[in-house]
Amino acid sequence: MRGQKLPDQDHISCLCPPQTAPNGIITAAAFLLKLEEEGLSVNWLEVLNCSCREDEIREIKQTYSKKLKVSKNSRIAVLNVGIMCNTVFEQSSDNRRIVVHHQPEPTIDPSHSEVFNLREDNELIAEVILRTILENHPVSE
Amino acid sequence: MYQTQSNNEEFEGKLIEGIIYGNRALNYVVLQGSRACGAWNEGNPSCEWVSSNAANKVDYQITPAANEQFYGIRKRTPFTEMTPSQLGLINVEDEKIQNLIFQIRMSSVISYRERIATNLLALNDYAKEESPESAGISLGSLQSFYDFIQMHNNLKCPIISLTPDNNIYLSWRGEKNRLFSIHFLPGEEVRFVVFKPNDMHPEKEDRFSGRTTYDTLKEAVTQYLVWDWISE
Repeated sequence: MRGQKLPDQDHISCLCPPQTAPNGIITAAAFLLKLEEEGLSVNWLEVLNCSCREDEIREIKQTYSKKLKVSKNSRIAVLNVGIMCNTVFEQSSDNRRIVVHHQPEPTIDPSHSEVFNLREDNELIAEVILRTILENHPVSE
Repeated sequence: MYQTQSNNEEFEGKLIEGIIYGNRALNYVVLQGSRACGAWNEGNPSCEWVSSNAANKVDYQITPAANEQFYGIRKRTPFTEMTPSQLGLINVEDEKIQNLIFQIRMSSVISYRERIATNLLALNDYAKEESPESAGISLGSLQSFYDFIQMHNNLKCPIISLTPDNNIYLSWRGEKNRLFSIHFLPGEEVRFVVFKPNDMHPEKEDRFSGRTTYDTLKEAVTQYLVWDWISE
């Protein structure tokens, strides 16, 4: 369902191009918005209905390769929705409530979702989100 | 492969000529007080240039292994013609970006100039790989960054990345989860983030952010004692 809020226990992946992850080290730049963007593009992993994380990542890589020009040096960050949102709430100076909504792109990217309410103080919020990364996967083995 | 040349161009009243090779053109670089025309070779981190100080058709090759004098005479090269339209193929903004990165590499005052220049070149390539129509690193952001690192030449080497708008984003990480990050916006402004242990309760963390200009940043974060741990 478009606009559905993702459950706290679920996970998202975020594609981090190599300019935001020099030498494979993801930086907060990966969680900053472009000037015209409203939300940060991510993917809802559980909605893929895979049996394990490895399969989820494999499927996500296929999705990325269909819709984006992906550098082989990119990384994929995996985050837990609840940990990310609650940590931002606790550690931001304005107790920011960020939310993740399902924004599927039918046929191309059905798991597409976006993180909203990052604007204003985006750098501090991005640094806090960076702390909550659970896994850092290479795009190419 | 680009060829760039200074064919009887006048630099500060001196006529020079020659041809230099590389896959990026660099023009009007100031080196040791004289102007130079050069070519940057990204695949092999070196560059060739011909300087207004050069007597006749002599060119130089600069390599990372060169000493602080930056160059030595390497070889004489043949002179060939190159049309204005060929030169016009070189993107002006890209050339300015390459020029600034080259100046960082050649600077006598910037700490970690070699590593920083190499990292910037890689980031610039990644940005262009993602959007081939893009000029790469934001020129305004790079200019502020360049001015900043020239002002503060005793800093530890930061992690350098690019934001989605291709602005430069620096981070230093220290003991006890200390963090200092700077986002160089196009123009003179920067946004910064500081994480540090609380002075009275070290188990707790203070977090600050703000916006200022690159040339007043040090003063803006004085109270957080950031420069104490990002300096060498």
